This record gives sequence, C-alpha cells and structure tokens, in this order.
Amino acid sequence: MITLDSFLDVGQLVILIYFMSINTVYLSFTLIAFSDLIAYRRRLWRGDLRAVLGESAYRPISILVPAHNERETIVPNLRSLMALGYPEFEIVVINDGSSDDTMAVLQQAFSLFPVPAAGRVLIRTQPVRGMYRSLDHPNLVVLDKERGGKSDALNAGLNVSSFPLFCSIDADSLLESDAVLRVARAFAEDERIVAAGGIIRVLNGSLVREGRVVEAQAPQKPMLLCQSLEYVRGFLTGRTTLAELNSLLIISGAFGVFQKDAVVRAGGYNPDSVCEDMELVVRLHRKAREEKKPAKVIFVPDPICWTQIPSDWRSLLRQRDRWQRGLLETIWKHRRMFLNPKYGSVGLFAMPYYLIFEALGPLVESFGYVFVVALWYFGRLETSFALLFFLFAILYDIVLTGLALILDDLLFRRYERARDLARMIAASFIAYLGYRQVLAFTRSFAFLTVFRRKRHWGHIQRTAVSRPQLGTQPTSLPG
Amino acid sequence: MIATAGGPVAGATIFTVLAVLVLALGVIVAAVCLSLMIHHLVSSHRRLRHAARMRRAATLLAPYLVGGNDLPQAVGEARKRLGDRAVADVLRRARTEIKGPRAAAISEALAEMGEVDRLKGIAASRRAWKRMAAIRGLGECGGDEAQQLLLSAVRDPDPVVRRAARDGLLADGRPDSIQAAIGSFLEDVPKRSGWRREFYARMATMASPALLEETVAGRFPPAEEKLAMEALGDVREMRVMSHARARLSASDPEIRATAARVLGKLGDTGSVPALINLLDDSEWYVRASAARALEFIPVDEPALDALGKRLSDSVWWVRADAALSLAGQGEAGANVLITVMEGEDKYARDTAMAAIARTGLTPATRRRLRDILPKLTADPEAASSLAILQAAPGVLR
Repeated sequence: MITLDSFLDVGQLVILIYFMSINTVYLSFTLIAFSDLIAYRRRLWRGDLRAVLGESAYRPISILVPAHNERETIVPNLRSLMALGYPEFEIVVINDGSSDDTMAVLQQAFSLFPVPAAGRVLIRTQPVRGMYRSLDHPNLVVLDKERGGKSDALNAGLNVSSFPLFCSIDADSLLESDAVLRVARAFAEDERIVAAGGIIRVLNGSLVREGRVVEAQAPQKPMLLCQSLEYVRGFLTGRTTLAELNSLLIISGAFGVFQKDAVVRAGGYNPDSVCEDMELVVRLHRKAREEKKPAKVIFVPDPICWTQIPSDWRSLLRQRDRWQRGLLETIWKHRRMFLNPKYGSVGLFAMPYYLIFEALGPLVESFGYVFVVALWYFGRLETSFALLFFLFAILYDIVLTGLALILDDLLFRRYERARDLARMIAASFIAYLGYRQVLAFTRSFAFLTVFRRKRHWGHIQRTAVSRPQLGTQPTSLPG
Repeated sequence: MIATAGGPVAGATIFTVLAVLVLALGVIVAAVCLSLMIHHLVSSHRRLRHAARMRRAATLLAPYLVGGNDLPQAVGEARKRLGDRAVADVLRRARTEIKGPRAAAISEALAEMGEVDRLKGIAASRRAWKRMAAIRGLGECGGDEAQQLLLSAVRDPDPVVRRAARDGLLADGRPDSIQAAIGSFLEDVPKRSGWRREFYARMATMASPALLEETVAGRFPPAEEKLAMEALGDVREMRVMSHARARLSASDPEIRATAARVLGKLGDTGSVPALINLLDDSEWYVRASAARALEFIPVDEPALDALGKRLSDSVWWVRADAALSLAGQGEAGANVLITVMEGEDKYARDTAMAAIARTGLTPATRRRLRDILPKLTADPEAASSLAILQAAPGVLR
C-alpha cells in the first residue's frame, strides 16, 4: 500500500536521480563542446573562405524565404540577402496567403513581373496563384500562393528552386554576409551531409544599418537577456555536442541549409507538424538509416543568423508552448525509432535524450516546485536543506552557463563591449527569479495541449529592422 | 526539499557535504565570472592593439610591396616600430595576393625576419593542428626554405596536414611544387568528393597549364578526370577544348556528359556536330548536358531541329534543357519553339510555351505567335500555359 510517506520518499528520490542525471549530461555536453569547438576553431583558416569564393568548388544554393504578413520586414531583409557574399544563389520568396499588402510591397520594391510557374511538382502544396521574377534582380523569384502554413510554403519553394542546396530562413532573420558561405563550405567538404545548421543570435538590442548588424549588443530587458543566454548555451554546448554524436534532431527554421534531393526524397516539410524543422530532420535521419545511406546532420558554429525573439511574455509563452508541443509530437510520430538499434545513435541516444531530458525536463522541474510545497504542507520540509539544495542547483547551472559564455567569448567574441558580457553574466543569476519557473510550467501544460492541431503561423510582434537609406544612423532594435 | 532519511547523523553529513559543495560552486562561479571578464578585457585590448599595428604596418609597407627595392629596409623599420607579429601577418597576407617577382621579394623578407624559422619550429609539433597551422603559414610565406618544408609535409601522417601542404605547394606555383602536389594527391586521393573537387578547383585557378597537361596525359583515373575537366572548364581554360572534343566519344557516359558541359562553357562552335549526335545518346544526362551546352554556342538549323526534337524527350530534364537552349538562340530558337507549340505533343508544347515566356521576341516572331493564338485558345488544356504567356511582358504585348 502506498502511504504518504513512501510517496514523498519516492518523489524525492526520483527528483534527486533526475537532477543528477540531467546535470551530468549537461556537464558532459559542455566538456565535449569545449573540445569540439576549440578543434573546429583551430581548423578554420581565412584562406578557406577565400578559396570557396574564388573557385568553383561551391554548390549553388536557393534561399527560401516563407513570408506571411511581413510587410514591415520583408524588403530590408531581402535587400540584405541580395548582398550575401556567395558566388551563385537565388532567393525564392513564398508569399503564403498574406492578408496584408506584403505582395504589393514586394511588387513595388523589386519590379516584379509574372512568369510561368514552370517546374515539376515534387511535393504537393496549396495552389500557387502566380510566380514572379524581378526585372532588377534576376536571381529573385516570388511565389504567391494560397495560405498553407510555413511548411507548405517551404515545400512550394522547393518545387520551384533550381539548385541542389537550399537554405530556409525566416523573413525577419538577418544573415551575416558570409553565413551561407561558411555553411556551404561544409557541404563542399563532405557529400554525406544532408543538413547543416548555424548559430542563431538574438537581434534585439543590436545596432542595425541597412539590413546589417553593425554592432552586436546584449539586450537590456531581463526577459530578453535570459532568452539570449538560452540561445548561447543551447547552440554552443547542446547542438555542438549532439551534432558531434550525429544525434542532432533540430535545425532551426530560422537558418538551416539542406540538400534538396534528400529533403524531397524524405517527402519535404510536414504541413501538419507544429515544429516542422525538427520533424524534417528526424525524418531525414530515419530515411537515411532505412535506406542504409550515410547521412550527417551537422552544426556549424561560425555562420550567424540574427533573429528577433519575443519581447513580450505572451509571445514568448506561445512560442515555447509550440516548441514543446512540436517536440512531443515529433517524438510520438517517430516513436518507432526509440531505442531501436536500426537507427543507430539517433534511436539509441538522441531519441531517449530528447524524451527524457528535453521533453520531460520541464515536467519534472515543475513537479519539483510543486513537490516542495507539498513537503512543506505535510511538515516534511527541512527548509535549510531545501534552500541549500536549490542554491546548489542554481550555482551548478550558472557554472555551466558561464562555461558556455567563456566558449562564446573565447572563440567567437560576439560582444565587444564588456558591459554586454556583464549583462549576460547577470542574466544567468536572474533567470532563476521567475523566468525559468514560468517557462517550465508553460512547457508542462503543453502535455495537455499537444494533440490540439495548430498549423498556422504564430504571431510575434515584430519591429521594422531598418529603413533602406544610405548614410543614416544605425537603428537600434528595442531591447 | 529532501527530508532527511537514515537518521540525524546521516542527515547532518549530507547537509555538510552539500554545504561544502555549494561553497565550492560559489567559488567556481566567482572564478568563472572573473576570469571571463578579465579574459575579455585583456584579449580585447590585445586584439585591438594588434589590428591597429597591422593597419599601420600595411600603410607603411604598401608602397614597397608593389614596387621599389627598399622592401627589406622598410620591413626592418616597420619591425622596430610595430613588432614582428604585425609585420609578418601583413607580409603573409600580401604574398597570397601578389604574384611574380614581388612575391619572391616578400618571401625573402619573411625568411630574413625569421618567420619561416618560427613556423618551422611549430611544424615539428606533435599536435596535428599546430603542424597544420604552421604548414598553412609556410604556404603563405613561400620561398625555397618553405617549399622544402612543404615537400616533406606532404608525407605527414595526418591527412589534414597533407592537404594543407598540397595547398601550399599549389600556391607556390613552381613546376616541381605542382608536380609534388599532384603526386601526393594521386597517392592519397581523399575519399570525400568535396575535397577532391576543391583540389582540382584550386589547381585550375593556380596552375591550369599543369592540370591541363596531366589531364591530357591521361594521368587521372576516370572519376578524377571528370573533376579535372570540369575545373578547367570553369576557369575557361580554352586549351582543354581539343581534349574535351575527343572525350565526347568516351565509353563512360559521365565523361561524355562532362565533356559536353565543358565545351558548352567554352563556347566551342567546332564541337556542334558532335554535340548534336550526343542529343541521341542512350543516357538522359548526356542528352541533357549536350542540350544545355548548345545554349551557349550560336548554332544553325540542324542543331535547332535536333533541339526541337528533344522537346519531346521522355525525360523532363532533357526537355527543359532543350527549351532553355532554344530560348537562348534568339529569333531562330524562338521560331522552333513556336513551331513546336503548333504541334500535337502537349508536353513539348507546354515546355516550349514556358521557354517562350522568358524570351525576348522580335516583332516578326511576336506576329507569328499571335497567329497561332486562336488554335491555342481553342484547346482547353493549353489554357493555363496560355494565361501565363499572355501575362509575360514583351511576349504578346
């Protein structure tokens, strides 16, 4: 018979074991990331990028930009894309049934004219209303289609893209001019690579001029700082290590480069998925292993994509809820891979890791907070012990975050000003004053809403990045 | 949070251990934060100082890098004022951009200031990444001593170091360096095609005559020959034309396709009859390559007719490439497309209409197109292609 005492004891044990496991994993990730990134940095040579630019070893790339109600940001961002330092590329903008005047803005800005939508339909999508090219920019293609969601838009873009590689980016993302070059170099080096992601940095608070980040600055608002910290840690330690173990299951939709052929064979993006980026990568892994073809999904730490993050709580919680539901949905959909040796490291390591630590982590954390209250209520709480343990957990996490910041500063040095770095360090302390807790509970509630179908774009309040005027002062994004 | 179990003594022990761990973590956190800030400040200062020195060194040395005999004196002066590192970095970067006798002068200056000796010391490291960095540096320095070190580095146990050595030898450009790079590459062909493509691309850029000679001599196996030919085509090495023409009749279809593509890139009018024959090849990608190659070569009626027939090919890629080629042939090609549009083959018709919509038409061709409009309008299956044709600027309006 389960008594209250035994339940409380078991609860404590579960939390303790989980706590030790997850922190051991995170520490291992951090140490592996250190070794891997330092080795990567040593291999980098300025001549390599110059060589790719100057020679024909590159592969041409299509940049797919799905757009839905992006009138504020689409033109400056496209202009910055056109200035990308890459030998041969095309930009395919997919207007996904915008209800604002995104299409009219594009037509005016780029002198678009209609062309036949010639091409094989590789993946079925919502109907395409028209295809346009630009008189001024021969490498710009614009598709106007019925609304179908981001995945559907990307599939439509794939149907008309001409090149063997494609890069999917968000309409409000800013790519550094050599970002595509840095990722494409990886594809030139190794033909087994089917997908590669770069690092996503927070644009909020940075200085932008004519679609370029002229100075990276840490945001000022605590909520934005905490998110920035999550991005640094998540990308530099998490994704680096998972990629090293060939267990990376996510490439951000904000910036990822894929082999078109591999994606088409896998069936393209799934329009029914909430998190199409993760679902696609898992399917790529699955398909490769089922077909017994070598396939690598990598993370390239030096190319940078800047993106705006939610600046209000409502958008942030909606985003995290969607991410969590996407994660659960993907794991459930591909549950056959779970602990299945046929799927190699993905089945034996990646899927269990994502389930136990990424998916269940917020649930266990939320349970822990509730459990503390329960212990106090039933008089079983040793307050000093609890506080000490909580302090231990916080400090341990801060150490790991600090190591990620060291890695970032040592190898990539994105923030020049010492005060920005100081802000990031401060954020690692304040993240525990409500931010983490709110997110943990939000993600836990996702377990209840995961089966609610949601195919449409979420709404994040966006700010116009810059105006296309020469010689103006750089614009600072609110942060 | 954790209720003490096992009695007060065990509980006190756990508490003490936890307290010690918390204290230790606190110290670690403080150390991490402090070291991060100190490193940031110190390295910022160093980096900015080095960058400023490099800019000043570049300004001081620029006039002597492109001409004049006073380079050694200028280098000496710059070293006294700005230090060896900044001057060496400027000279190394300059040497990668400057060719000919000036490059030799820069190599001598680097050797004299001890940069080659410094890199030689690092090249003896047990760590592969250090050897690689040193070999890259030696490739940038150039000169006789560096060349000797690169020649021995092509036998390094680490493949990345060997690759760096080959790149350095290619950059050196002297015949014996090129031969050594090719020899090393062929002994040790990388498994990754990306590395191989890069090697050929680099060779074609830095030493195309040597690459051409090796290709024509048949030194490369078929898989490598394709990459070599493609690289020579990309840099528009016209002397590969005769070799590519001969390879149009190779038994390997991939060689035939590559040869066709290369001749297209070079715009070889002499290969048109052979390319027309390839339009009937048994392999679809050979047909597609031949069709695409003809886009870049002005052709006459036999080729236009042959391309027109390919608009009915069973493979979509071949049809698309043939249509693009015809669209690229101006009025003559547009007339063939219009003739196909009048035919019964709906695949060919739609492909032709798509190509026409992207083509600039002369008034005569536009009139001819308008003449066949009634027939197209009457066919419901042509409606969608027709709508796009009518919307395309400069086609019917």
